[in-house]
Amino acid sequence: MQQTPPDAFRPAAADPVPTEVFADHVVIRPPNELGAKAARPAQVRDGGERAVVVRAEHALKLLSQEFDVWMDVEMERLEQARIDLAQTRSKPATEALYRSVHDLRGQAATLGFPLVGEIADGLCSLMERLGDLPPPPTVVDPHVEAIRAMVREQVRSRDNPVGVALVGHLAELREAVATRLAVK
Amino acid sequence: MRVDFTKLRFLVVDDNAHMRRIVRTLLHGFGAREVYEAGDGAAGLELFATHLPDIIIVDWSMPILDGIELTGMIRRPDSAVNPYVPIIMLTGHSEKSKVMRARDAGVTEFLCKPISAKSLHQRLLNCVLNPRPFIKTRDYFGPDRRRNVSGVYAGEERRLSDDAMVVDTAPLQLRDSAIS
Repeated sequence: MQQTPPDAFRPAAADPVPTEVFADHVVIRPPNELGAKAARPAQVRDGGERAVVVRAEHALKLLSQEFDVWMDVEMERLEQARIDLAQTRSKPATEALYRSVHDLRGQAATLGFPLVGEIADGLCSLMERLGDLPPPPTVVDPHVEAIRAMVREQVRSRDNPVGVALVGHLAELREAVATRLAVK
Repeated sequence: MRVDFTKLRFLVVDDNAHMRRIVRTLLHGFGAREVYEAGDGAAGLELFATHLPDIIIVDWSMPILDGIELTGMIRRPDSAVNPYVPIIMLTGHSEKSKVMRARDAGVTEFLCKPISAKSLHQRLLNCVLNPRPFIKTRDYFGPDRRRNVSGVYAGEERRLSDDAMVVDTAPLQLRDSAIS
């Protein structure tokens, strides 16, 4: 026997998408328009999905000629954010530094500097633990200096023992600061 | 099955121009021709309404209107545009709590940086070849969060019952606005 669903779950009268109405939820099954538009049967000689990925990787490799310049731009942005935070200790300056470090966390590895990504990840995590509290210069400055030095000296991956040691030292520094500031 | 990326229209929303360029390069590498970019959430919302992308790739962290908020504004069941559009959340956040928050906002796929051609390609294939049904509850509208059917699910039960009260069999076609 059909029952009337609660108003909150009643599909809109003009809504033609196939739906199934349950006690507390509605299941909506939109037709797969993207599949109808773009899916096609595999061909014997189309190279498979792997060939598509390889083409994209090649395109990214060509683009990588610009990555060092991009990193220089990111370094300028990071340094400016550090200076602004040191001068103002304001919330906007804290947010600007976070965005800069967060972007490095996400793209440094793609740009060829995975160790920089690790340092940025650590500083990001600390800032997230601190919330609105601006991180002290005693922790920001060593991180920014380490990142800039690694980019300048082309220290890219964990093959570099000095770089790895620096990453470890900064992790200890962050923990000490977090303990001192009593953040979770 | 293969996906013909030349048939699809993409929107990339990220406040970082370098990341937009990387994503655009990968999409073109896959064969895509139509890739639109927005540098913030508000511009992304406008391009979504005017260009009707097939798939949106959005960064989480953006000033003013972030990726989560943008997702929430798109995932409105009564939207005249396309509330079902696949949304891939691209982010440096990898914590489980962040993944869950993105999922609860209605994102279709979650992609952690650093981005790779393989990981992005896989998410795109999922969007095109394995779309999930949408679920509407009092406080959620988005892709079914039960990605896999598991007999050993031990989490919180969000749905009271799977017994259908009403089965709407009349409308079998998607309205034009839901087609992009």
